Parts: sequence; C-alpha cells; structure tokens
Amino acid sequence: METKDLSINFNGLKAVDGVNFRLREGEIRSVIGPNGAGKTTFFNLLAGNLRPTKGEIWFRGKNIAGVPQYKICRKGITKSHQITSIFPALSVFENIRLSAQMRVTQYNFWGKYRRISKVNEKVMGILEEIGLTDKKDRVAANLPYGDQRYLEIGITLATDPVILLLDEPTAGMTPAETRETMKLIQNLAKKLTIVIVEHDMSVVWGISHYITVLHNGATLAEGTPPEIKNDDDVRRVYLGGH
Amino acid sequence: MGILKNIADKYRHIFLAFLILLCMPAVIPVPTASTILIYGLYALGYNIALGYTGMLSFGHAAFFGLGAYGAGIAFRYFNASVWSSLLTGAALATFFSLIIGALCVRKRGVYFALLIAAFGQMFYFLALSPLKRITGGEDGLRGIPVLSVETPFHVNLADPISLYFFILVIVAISILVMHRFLQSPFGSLLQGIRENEKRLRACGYNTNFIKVFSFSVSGLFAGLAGALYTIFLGYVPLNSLYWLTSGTALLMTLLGGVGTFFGPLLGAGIFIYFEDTISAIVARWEIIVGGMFVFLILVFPEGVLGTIRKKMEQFGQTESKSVQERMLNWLKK
Repeated sequence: METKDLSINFNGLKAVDGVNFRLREGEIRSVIGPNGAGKTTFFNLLAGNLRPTKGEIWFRGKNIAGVPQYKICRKGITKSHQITSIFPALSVFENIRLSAQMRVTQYNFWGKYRRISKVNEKVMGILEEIGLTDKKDRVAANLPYGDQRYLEIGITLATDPVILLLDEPTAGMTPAETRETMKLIQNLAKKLTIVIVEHDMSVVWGISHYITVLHNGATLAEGTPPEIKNDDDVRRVYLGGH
Repeated sequence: MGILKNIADKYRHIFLAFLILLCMPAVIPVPTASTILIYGLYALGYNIALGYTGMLSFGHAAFFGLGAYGAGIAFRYFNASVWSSLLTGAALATFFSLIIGALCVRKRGVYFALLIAAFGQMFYFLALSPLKRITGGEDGLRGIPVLSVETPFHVNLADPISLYFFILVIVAISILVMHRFLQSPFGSLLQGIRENEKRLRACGYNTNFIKVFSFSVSGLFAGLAGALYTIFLGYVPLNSLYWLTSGTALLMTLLGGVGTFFGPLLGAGIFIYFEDTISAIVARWEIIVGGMFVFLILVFPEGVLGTIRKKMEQFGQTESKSVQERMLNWLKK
C-alpha cells in the first residue's frame, strides 16, 4: 500500500497534509507523533472512514481514495477502533460471528445463520487466538475492559484483513494485558501487515519494524526504531525527555 | 422421535402463539379477535424496523394505509380477486417503503422518525383532497363488494368466523416467513445495526442497503395488514393513513416488548381488547385506556414480554442494558 500526497482539510484546518507513505508487506509499522499530529485522521483516511480532500491511496494496483469504507474492508484493509466499538447486547461469539459472516454470505435471506459451519469454525479459531474461548457465551457489554479490547481486535480479524490498522490497541490495558497484546500482534504479523498508532513507547520500540513520525499532519521522519530514537527532530518535537 | 422433539422444542413459542390465536374467537368477540390479528401483523412488521434494526418510524401509517387503499382500489375499480388485492396492497406498500426508506436512510434517530412521519402525512393529505375522486376523501373508499375467496376453495368472507380464520392463515404464514427471515444470515445482521451500525459498516457490510431492505420488509407486512383491514371492514377509512395509526404500532410494540418476537402481537391484543371493550361501556374511554397503559408500562417497563424475558434471564445469568435504554442512547446520537 502506498499513499501519494494524501491530505484532508477540516474547515481549512489541514489535519493531514501531503503524506507520502509506503507500506511493505508483512511488516509492523508504527505511526507515532504528539497529540493532534493527525495519526487517527490518517488512519481514518486509510480505512475509508473519511474521504481525502486531495491525494491518492494505492492498494494492489488500484487507487482506493474515496471508496466507501465497507468496500475497503472487503478489499482487506480493516481498522480496529481506538474507542472500543463492539455489539454490546450480543454474545462474544455473535460479535465475531457477525463479522466473520461477511466473507461467506451476505445476502442470504432464507438460510439459518446458526448453522453455517464454515462461519462457526472460523469464529472458534479467532476466539482461540484472542483467548476468549471460554467466555464465548457472555454478553459483550459485561466483559472486563481488557477482554473487550481483545474482542475488538477479534471482530477486526474476522474480516480476513490483509492490512490490519490498530488504533491504540493497548490503550487502558494493564501492563500484563499489554504484554499479551504485543505477543498477539507479533503472532499476527506472521500472516499480515500491521500498522499501529500507539502512545506507549515501550510497545512501539518493542514490536515495530519501521516507524513513521507525524507532526502537524505531515511526515516528520521515517526509519527503524534506533534511527528514530536518535533523530534530532523527533527528539525535539515528540520524544523530549524519553 | 428425537428430531420431532427437537423441532417441537425450538418452535415451542410459535406453537403456543398459534394455539392461543386459534382459540381466541371462542373467548372474545370475533370482530375484536380479527382486529387483533390485523393490528398484530402490523405491529410485528413495525418491530422488524424498530425492535430488530433500531429504526424508529413515526410514519408507518403510510404503509398500512397504502396497503389498505391499494387493496380497496383493486376491489372497487378493477374488480380484483381477494388474492390479487392483497398482493396489490402489499406491493404498493413495499414499493413506497423502499423509496421512502432509501430517501431517509442517511438520517438517524429522531430526524429519521420525523422525516418518515412527514412522508406519511403527505399520503394522508393526498388521499384527503387531491385524489378525492379515487380515494373518496374524508368518507374513505366505500362501495367494496362483499367478498368471497374462490381459490383454492370457497370461503365466504361475509361470515365473521370464516373471515377470522382466513385472516389467521395469512397472519400465520407471515409470522413463519418473518421468523425465518430473522433467523437468516441476512436477518442476523439487523441486530448488528441496532447494536452498533458503524461497527457493522467497518466489518464490510453496506449498512444503508441493509437498513433500506429491512425497512421495506417492515413496510411489506404493514401493507399486508392494511390490505386485510380493507377486507375486514369492507371499506377503507381515511384514518388508516393518519399519523395516529403510526403511533398505534409504536404503542403496541412498546407495550408488548421491543425486540421480542411476539411482543408486538401481545401488545396489539392488549391494546385492541381494552379499546373495544371499554369504549363499549364508557364514553370517554381514552382516559381509562390511557391510564391502564401507563400502569402497564410502570409494571412492565420493557413491555410485557420484554420484562418477563428479562426476569427469566436474570434468573440465569447477568443482564445487559435493556433495548429501550440503548434505543434512547441511539436517539441522542
């Protein structure tokens, strides 16, 4: 995936301003930057939540800028949300099932949704991966916060993404949960490309292959973790005392 | 035997409902029972939009009324058979719910509800005056011949009991179709929309399409109920299009339990039964019936079936937020 001169204005405010971004297959890329740098907006552009004012997003030989979000998801780019977004009154199983069903059947008005074994097996596999198998019948709203974060990632995984965008996956997690999540992300990276926005620098240094630093909506620096650590500009605007 | 028991277990509530409906005319006056069936179908359809998909509509009278007028016009001017009139009414309602749904689907919450209400009132005023020569204006569409069904066998619809069972057959088929629809992979997505529309869209679903489709299925059953109403009354009253008729569906659904499958039917039963019996005794019956509804909602805050289900679930395990509570949150968005 590659973006060219990607920009968006909100009433004249340039939230993302001419970002050129190139993602390599199979890497874990972190996007960091101070608050208001445009990280989340940039993510929303990639996932199709927002329509860019200018610029292109190339994915598998096609410009997908301005394509509706649900179509981008079907192409294989999915975003997990910074603020936990699940189906609160439904069971954990059903939460993932709704998402997993997308690749198998969409406009089936007469079958029985509980009986599609292909979907059910896939859901069980994902539950195993995120460690919620024994909680599959619980109502999602009643899960502890950390489990809801895992469920969020599970729903995202069920869409079979090629590129997974994780917006602050460890926000609000305990240190133990954060370590688990890092392991999970590293496991997932064996199969897919991952981009994460993260504030917890220990996570960023720990798992990233490559880092992009955004500042005022533009790319400030790009490089491997050691390069970024020693970059003067980055130290000045973001890392400060770190 | 094992399989039979399995089926009986799964469809227990449907069998129970059909059994009650079969016995109903023996217990309460037959015309009241027929009205309950018709409004029950209307409210069940309404609940597909409100209870399952989470779309609040203040204008379903448009679809009920279109179904009624569609059937009435087919009878009156084209001498159509009962079957083709029912079909005309349902098709007309589906067609317009599809169009109106597609126009309003991008709006959410109260804005959606009020837009639909505006469209509903548009049909009311169209029938009242510009189309008076066809619709009969304020008097309603009269002069519909006494009807009988000839295929597959002769049923005399002038006889109240035969009429009741004719309506029951259609309502029963509709209930089975609706139930099956809601159990389908597509139907399972509706609750996803109610719970978190944005999330469902992020999972790769075209949520606007799903909403429009769900809304027109809802309109289809409302229209079918309207067409049955024409057959039942022998004329089309203008107030079938009036906004109060939309409110009726909402009230019945809330009374019985939003998001429960049979709740709206039960709500319609309570509503029509009290209305019919009390209005025969007291002149200002609205005060008494209104008071009873307030009382019922206080005792059963999530509707009769909804509250019972919740109590039973609490017995088993922990409970989530009520549907009503989430509907309110959704309206605030």
